[in-house]
Amino acid sequence: MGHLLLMWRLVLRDMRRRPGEAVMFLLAVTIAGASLTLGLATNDAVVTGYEKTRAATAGPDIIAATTATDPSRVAESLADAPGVAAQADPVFAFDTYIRAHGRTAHSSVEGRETSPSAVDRPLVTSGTWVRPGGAVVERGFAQALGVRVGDRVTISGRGYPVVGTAISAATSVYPWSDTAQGPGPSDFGGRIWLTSADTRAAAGDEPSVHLIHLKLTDPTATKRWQDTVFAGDREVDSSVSVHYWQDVLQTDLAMIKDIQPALVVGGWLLAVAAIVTLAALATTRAARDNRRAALLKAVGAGPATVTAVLLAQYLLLTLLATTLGLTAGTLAAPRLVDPSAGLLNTVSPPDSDTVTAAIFLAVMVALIGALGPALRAARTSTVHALADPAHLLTRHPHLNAVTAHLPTSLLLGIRLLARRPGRAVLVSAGTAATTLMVTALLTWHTELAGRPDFRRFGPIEVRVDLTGHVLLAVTLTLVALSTLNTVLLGWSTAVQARRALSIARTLGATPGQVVAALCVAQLLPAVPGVAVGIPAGLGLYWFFGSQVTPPGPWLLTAALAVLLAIAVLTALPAWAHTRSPAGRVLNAEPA
Amino acid sequence: MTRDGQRARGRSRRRDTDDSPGAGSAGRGHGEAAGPVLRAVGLARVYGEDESAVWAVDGVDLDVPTGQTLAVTGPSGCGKSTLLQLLGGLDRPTEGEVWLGGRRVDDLGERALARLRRRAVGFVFQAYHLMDELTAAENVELPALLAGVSPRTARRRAAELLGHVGLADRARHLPSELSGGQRQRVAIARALVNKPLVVLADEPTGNLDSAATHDILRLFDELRAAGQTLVMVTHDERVAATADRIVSLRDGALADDTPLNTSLDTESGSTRLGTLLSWED
Repeated sequence: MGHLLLMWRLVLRDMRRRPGEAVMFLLAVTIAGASLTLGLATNDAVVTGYEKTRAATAGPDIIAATTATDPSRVAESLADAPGVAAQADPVFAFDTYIRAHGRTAHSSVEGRETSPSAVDRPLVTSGTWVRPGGAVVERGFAQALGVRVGDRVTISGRGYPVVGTAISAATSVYPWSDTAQGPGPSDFGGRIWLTSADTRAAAGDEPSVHLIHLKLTDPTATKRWQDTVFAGDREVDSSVSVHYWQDVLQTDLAMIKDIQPALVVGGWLLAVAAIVTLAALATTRAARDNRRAALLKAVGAGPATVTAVLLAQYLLLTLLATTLGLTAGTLAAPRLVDPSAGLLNTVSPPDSDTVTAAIFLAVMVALIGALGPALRAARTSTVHALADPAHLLTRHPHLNAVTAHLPTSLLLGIRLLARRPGRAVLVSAGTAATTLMVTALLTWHTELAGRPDFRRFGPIEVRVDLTGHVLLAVTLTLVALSTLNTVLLGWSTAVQARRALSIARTLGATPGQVVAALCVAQLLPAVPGVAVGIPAGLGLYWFFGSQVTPPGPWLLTAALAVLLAIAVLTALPAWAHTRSPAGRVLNAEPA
Repeated sequence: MTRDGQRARGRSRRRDTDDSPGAGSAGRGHGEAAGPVLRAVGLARVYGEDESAVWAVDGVDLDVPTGQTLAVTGPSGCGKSTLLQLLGGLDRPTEGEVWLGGRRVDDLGERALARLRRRAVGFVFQAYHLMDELTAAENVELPALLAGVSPRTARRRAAELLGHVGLADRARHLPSELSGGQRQRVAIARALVNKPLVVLADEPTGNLDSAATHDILRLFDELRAAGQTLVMVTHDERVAATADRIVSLRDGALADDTPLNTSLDTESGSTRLGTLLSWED
């Protein structure tokens, strides 16, 4: 009890004294967790959204389409077929181009009665259901067209006021909701409901279909039902094509096919950046944590208690960040997976796999970033840590001899680098993660530039836009975290080396040479990070997408831009440190 | 005397000494009858190796009887602080033994040493070494909570001790809001919270002005009167003069061992404190 109180007290006070560090850690891990949760939760979110929509709209298990002029015989055959629990009246539908707000779009137009149907009862999300002379537009389609209740749409040359918007589970989300294109899979287009009379009037001589929606006694046995009903001598009609509710769901899932890898891979890359953030924080905290450990040990705390106290804060923040990341990812998932707004916007709790992955990611980040420094602090000699809490340095006599002939900046930079190999690894890893994502984004734009068919009004564009937005968002987040990390690492390098660099200044090194030395210490490990990041980005893109390679000058420019950004971001804190007179620094610090 | 000579002297002392604590010859003063609560036998601490080896503590034999106030003096770098750290289990000797409360402690593991520090030893440092983020009361409670004392009892003990050191009204202040003397008084209260066998103070007045030094010495005097064993390292001869006994170190070895007080009824600590105050005047 006393130990717990003590731990709680120390954690709370430390966070209160340095809220910036806690917020930074929280932010980094939350972002990584949210991205991973989003990536893993998208499938579930689509499935849940579809199931909710299906339940709310009495969604059909089977959607049969016939080109027969008189669908009554087909409808009777299907109604009498074994396993059919309910059947709606055949729906007259045709496929046409409609116009709204000056845009032309492909769409099915379905004729409905004003009374509810037995199967497939679209859920009105704004305005009212169909009435003579009034059109109801599928919500996702209305959103893509920018149409609202009260606007007008032109169908077959005649204008109809939009009286409502609705959603349905009988077709996939926009842009795959046009099922009136005859037998066979639909390509792209929206969905509009009119009254039956208005539909027939609008269709004129256009080719049309009849859609028959069925409910089965066993909704899971759709394939078996089709095999039975349409097998051999029992074949109902050769003009009938059949879709299952599972086909609709699979098409909906295709919407997120491209964004999933970006989110999941992005989640892990953000985790790498979060590890760098945490390790950089731990570096800046090292002297303070060593002193805390020594103080605790001096008053009787054992190594286990010291480690627990130093880790408790990170673990507490990890728990909080996991919860925040899971919540943010779960709340954002329905919006992300249903950009066309064709499904009920539902939020469901993440499944156990997603929760496990998010916890694993956060705990891994916390342990990799904080366990080493905590154990080191717990093991450090109490006497040494009380006397001088700074990290003890290893001497490299051979390196000192080799670098002695180099120019001053390079000499100091390489020696700084050799003194903190762990920090060099952090810089490399963080740079590699950022470069990887930048490369993926460039490759995406290269592919986009080479495929003009991607940029048309239709299904691919929606997916293209979504994927582009996700890639851009993950890249920008990663760049923001990396910027923060570079400044943090630059700052901590400057703080820890200020005594050595002040001595160098008293011996004649100029402030410019000192700033350049700190930049060298950051840039040298960044170069292998860039060298690894570019092929890794290309490889991952090729693995999940197409084998496209951005032009060489693009990649070279990106690599140089990353390195230049690191140099500038390091130079700023380095320059700030060189502003204090060297003598003051030497006087302020113990030998 | 050469280093080898010193080491030989240390070893010969160990040979002359029984294995059991309490049989030492160095313990003197008013606590003699009670036997040594703290004992060092041939204690040595070496930094570095071979040619660059430095004997910070070199063959020190020392018995500290219960209730005695012992001052360890000597020039800077003579090994006073290192000796104190070895006696309190903050550092491990290269050679020799440390006995505390009749138990050998130099060969204990880290966890056992931690338990020892929290139950049997109270440290007072020159730089106070308080936790910056904890209030004065919470700093005092710290070792009690580590020792498994209930939070309520720890709070009560801290309040009592802070009252005792005259800081009852500063209990909720952070160290940064206290003067140097007040911080040191908090550190003393912290050292006492688990009722240790021995309090080890490393230059407890080294960072303090005269007034604060007097306050701290008054507190030590009260501790002495209450029978608390106290070992303090100091380079200030006037502070050392308030002790029951002074040992001097030179180059890590014991150079002198002077009892100032042979009986509880003769010159008391208070009287010597009075002498100190008169010096200040």
